[in-house]
This record gives sequence, structure tokens and C-alpha cells, in this order.
Amino acid sequence: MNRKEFLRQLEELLYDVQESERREAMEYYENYFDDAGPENEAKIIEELGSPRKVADSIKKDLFGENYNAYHEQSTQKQQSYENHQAFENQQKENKTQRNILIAVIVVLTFPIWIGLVGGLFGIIVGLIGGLFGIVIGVMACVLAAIVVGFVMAGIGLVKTFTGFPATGLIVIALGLFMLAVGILGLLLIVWCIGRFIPWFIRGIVMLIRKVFIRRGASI
Amino acid sequence: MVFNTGAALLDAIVLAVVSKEEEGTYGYRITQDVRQAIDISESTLYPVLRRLQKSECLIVYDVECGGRNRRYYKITNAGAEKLADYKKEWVEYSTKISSLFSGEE
Repeated sequence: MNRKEFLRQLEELLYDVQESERREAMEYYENYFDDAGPENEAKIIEELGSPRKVADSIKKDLFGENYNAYHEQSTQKQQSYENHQAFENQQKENKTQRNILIAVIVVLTFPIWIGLVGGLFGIIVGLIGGLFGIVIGVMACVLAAIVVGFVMAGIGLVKTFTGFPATGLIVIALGLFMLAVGILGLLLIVWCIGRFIPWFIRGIVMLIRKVFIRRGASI
Repeated sequence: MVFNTGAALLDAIVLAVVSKEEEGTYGYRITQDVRQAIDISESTLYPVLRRLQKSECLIVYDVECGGRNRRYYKITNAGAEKLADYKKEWVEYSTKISSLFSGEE
């Protein structure tokens, strides 16, 4: 470091000192170097120590005890900030540790929960299958009623015009009744499907969304 | 040096050094003179001079010297009085300590 650099750094370090005080100090040290002569420049820089040491001696005199208090306060601030950082890091670490622990528990209890999950899955599949079976059965019945209704009406018509008008009409009546029941059943099924399918899809979408949102929150 | 030089003693030494020069003296020379008596860091002296200047024990004036201004310090009447007080105190203080050391009561 040479004289120029030393004085430049000193001026920088005196940034929080009154303008007049800073100028006074800078003049003094410029004078000092001038009076010592260029041959003593290196010696003086060595003896002064560092620009910081010189700046501190000036500030200590200007601010007195307050300077020490100010110094301590800024150190404390720094420390409390560091403590806060350490605390946050600790929390992060704890969270990571907790997540690892959860993963380990999940893996270790695999034999237990795979049974439970499997059972639950079986129950759900069984229920859906049963429901599906009932639906198919109802549909078959409805289809059968319609088909039988048509067939009976047909048979009744044939009987009516082949010498058994009474029997024929009764059979026609029974056939039309079956047809009516079949059509009602069909309407019921259509109505059920119209209601049930949107509800079912909505339910699945909501379930998926719930699972994803929860996972998103925990990450 | 094993003994610390307190603020008051430092003030007294600087006042004494400056008072020796009728026409005043400048920072670098004051430092050299003070360092003949006590071992002191060069950075300690500026705050002392500034303090004495503010308490009007010293006055400052610029003298042109080789194409630049040199800052001179000169003792004031108030400074001289202060120095006299310090000297008196010092005689009392040092006598007591000396007599204690030499074992004479």
C-alpha cells in the first residue's frame, strides 16, 4: 500500500464522520506524509498500522463511549441475525429429518399397511363390481320386459285373428303391460345414468385434486 | 513501556511539547518529540491534537512552506494554564509514587 491508497481508504472509512471532521483529519494526515517526506512513507504507513486503525482512533475520540456502544450494537445485530439464520437452518434440517423419518416408517411398516390398503382396494373394487352387476341385471330385466312385451303382443295379435280373440286380447294386454314396465325401467335407467355419471366423474376429480393439493402443501 | 499513558497525561505531554516552540510546531514534529518520551502509536496523536484544539488549549494556523500549507499548532493562554495545572498534579502524583517506591514515608 502506498500513501495515496492509504489516504483513499482512510477517507472511505470516515464516511460516517462529519464532513468538517473528515476534512480536518485528511488534511492532518496529508500534512503528516508531506512533513515526513517520501523517504519515510513506507515507515509511516507501517507505524500507523492500517487505515482502519487510524479511522477507529478518530471515531473513538469523536463519538466517545457512544462509539463503543454503536460498535457493540452493530455487532449484536449481526449476531442476532446469525442466530436467526442458524435457527432457520435448524428448522429446515428438522423438517428434512422428519420427512426422512416418515419415509423410513412407511417402508418399515410396509407389510402392515399393504394388507390394509389391499383390503380397502378389494372392498372398493367389490362394491363397484356389485353395483355394476346390479346395473347390468336391471338393464337385462328391462330389455327382457321390452322384448317379451313385443313378443307377447305379437302372439296375442296372432291368437286374436286365428279364432281365440279373448285369449288373444288378454295376451296383447299382458304384452303391452310388459312393454310399459320395460319402457318405464328404461327411462329410470337413463335418468339414473344421467345423474350418476356426472356425480361419479366429479367425485373422482375431487378425490384426485385433494390428494395432489395435500402433497403440494407438504413439499 | 509497561505503564499506560492515560488521556490526561497524554494531553499534558502534548501541551508540553507544543509549548516549547514559541512559533508553534506541526503534527509530524509533535509526534516525533512525543515519541522521544513515550512509546505511542502514531495514530493516537491526531485525536489528542484535535481534542486540545477544540477545548481551545491549542490554536491552529497554516503557514506556507515549500509551495504548500503546513498546519501549525500553538499553545494558547488557556492551554498554558492547563499545562501548569497538569505539571503541578504530576509533581504531586510522581512524588508520592516515587517515595512509595523508595520506601520513604
